[in-house]
Amino acid sequence: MQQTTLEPAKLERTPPSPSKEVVNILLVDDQPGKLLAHEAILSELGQRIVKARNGIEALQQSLRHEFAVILLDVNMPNMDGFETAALIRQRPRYEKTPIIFVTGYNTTDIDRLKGYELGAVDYLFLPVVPQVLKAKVNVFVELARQTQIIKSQAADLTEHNRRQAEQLEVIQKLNSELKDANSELEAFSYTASHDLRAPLRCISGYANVLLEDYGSRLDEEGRGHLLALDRAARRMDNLTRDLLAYGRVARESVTLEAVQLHPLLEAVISLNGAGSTRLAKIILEPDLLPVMGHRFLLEQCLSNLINNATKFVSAGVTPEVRIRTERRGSQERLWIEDNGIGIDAAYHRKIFNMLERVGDLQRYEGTGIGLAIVQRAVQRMGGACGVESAPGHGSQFWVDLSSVPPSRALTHNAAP
Amino acid sequence: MISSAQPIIILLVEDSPDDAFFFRRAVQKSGFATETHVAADGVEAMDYVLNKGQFTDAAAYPPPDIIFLDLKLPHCNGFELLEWMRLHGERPRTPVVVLSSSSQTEDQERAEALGAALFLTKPAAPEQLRHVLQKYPVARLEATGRENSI
Repeated sequence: MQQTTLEPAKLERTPPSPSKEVVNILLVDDQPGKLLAHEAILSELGQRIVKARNGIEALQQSLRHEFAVILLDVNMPNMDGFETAALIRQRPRYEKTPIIFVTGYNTTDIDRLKGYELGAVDYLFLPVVPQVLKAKVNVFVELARQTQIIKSQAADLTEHNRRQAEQLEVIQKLNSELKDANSELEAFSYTASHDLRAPLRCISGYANVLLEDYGSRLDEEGRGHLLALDRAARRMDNLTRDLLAYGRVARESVTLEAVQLHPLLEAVISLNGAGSTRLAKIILEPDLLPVMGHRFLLEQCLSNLINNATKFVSAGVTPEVRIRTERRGSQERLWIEDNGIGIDAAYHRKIFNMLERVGDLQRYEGTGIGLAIVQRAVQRMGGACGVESAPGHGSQFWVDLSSVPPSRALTHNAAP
Repeated sequence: MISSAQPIIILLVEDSPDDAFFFRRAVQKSGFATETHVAADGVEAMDYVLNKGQFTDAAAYPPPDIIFLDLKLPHCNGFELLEWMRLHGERPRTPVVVLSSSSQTEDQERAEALGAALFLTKPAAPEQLRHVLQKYPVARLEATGRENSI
């Protein structure tokens, strides 16, 4: 009973198939009755039992199978148990196989010593007590089963390690390829941002020269065509710029550092100076809190938000942008608030999607990439962003970034 | 129309004739009397500053009051030229304004670290140039004793 209750628990513990865990037991005895009796007792263990009626047969069986334990009668004609054991032990495979000698009470101590020299692990005295026989054999059966499990696990582990080493090699190779590809992309992107945009600047520039110097010789329609040419070139230029920026935001390697917002915002505003930002009134609150951010990503993020804040304004209204920070737990919320046309609540999420231009916003020039850049940049800094807005009430965009922990010394990124 | 008694000497380092054309136009519109000389790459710019090569005639190629510098140039790029000027430039230094095609802040920081006075993205607008020409050549004009009536 105890055995059967133990079995399932063991099977649960060892995932490999149960058939693998059945081991062989060799019973060697010249008396068929004893063989049968022992077999009957041990069959309860649920293992495979192999019988041999003499030493020769035992040796033959030992060639065919591997045994977890050998139960060896000492007293046999021709070749006794000790001789059989000595021969079995000669095979490397059986050097350590447990042998239990079955012997009468008359065994002298000398005989026993002989048994131990031959590597006997135990003795059983006749008449055999079934519980004792079962218990002793079971110890070795369990040992063998555990050894087998460990062996198969070790093999699995070796295989696993080998595969992992292989995978690591593949990953390393891919990684170095990726690095190459990335630096190529970097070079491409740099070239593209200069060379791809130069001709567009030219188209736009000459269209304006034509308008200024020769515009009076053209009729309204001709001037309209030139304006369209200029608009298209500018749009292409903006698209190129934004797509390159988006690509870089997505692949830039990010290490966060403490960033002071004032110098960064001033740099961004001065670089944005050519567009609508130039005419805008931008108020930076004096006590902006520093944030954990990444210089380039923050610049991309803020320049797009400020650009939007100054762009989507009703005709005749001077854009007014207020930038402030607000402590929220362990985060700083950066607010960019404008007096623009506002955004319907239905679009508050949609506007952050790539190439999404919605509602009234479509009437304004833009690429539909700016807020996608913002969202991606913020995500990459581990932050969040969103908007509070209603048509006619301006927009309040927010960006949440981690506060600078007191231990982190502030790096001063003030422009020289 | 703002005028100065003597024109401001500008050295434009720019390899693109189109961009040079747009620059001249914008400078004209800025209202300042200027004289713009163009060097097509960094090496030519060095020659100009040293009055060497095609620029040996010091009267025809006077020392610039201000330099406008493109970053992406053949032979010797804008950064290298800035570096060279830092090592070889006369004192007081001629102010250098960088004109770049893209507003990458790394470029800006690098240029400023190398001594650039200002970083502008192309195309430079006439009002930007007016602001720049009002501010930067002053030191040199004062140092050389030239009158600057604005």
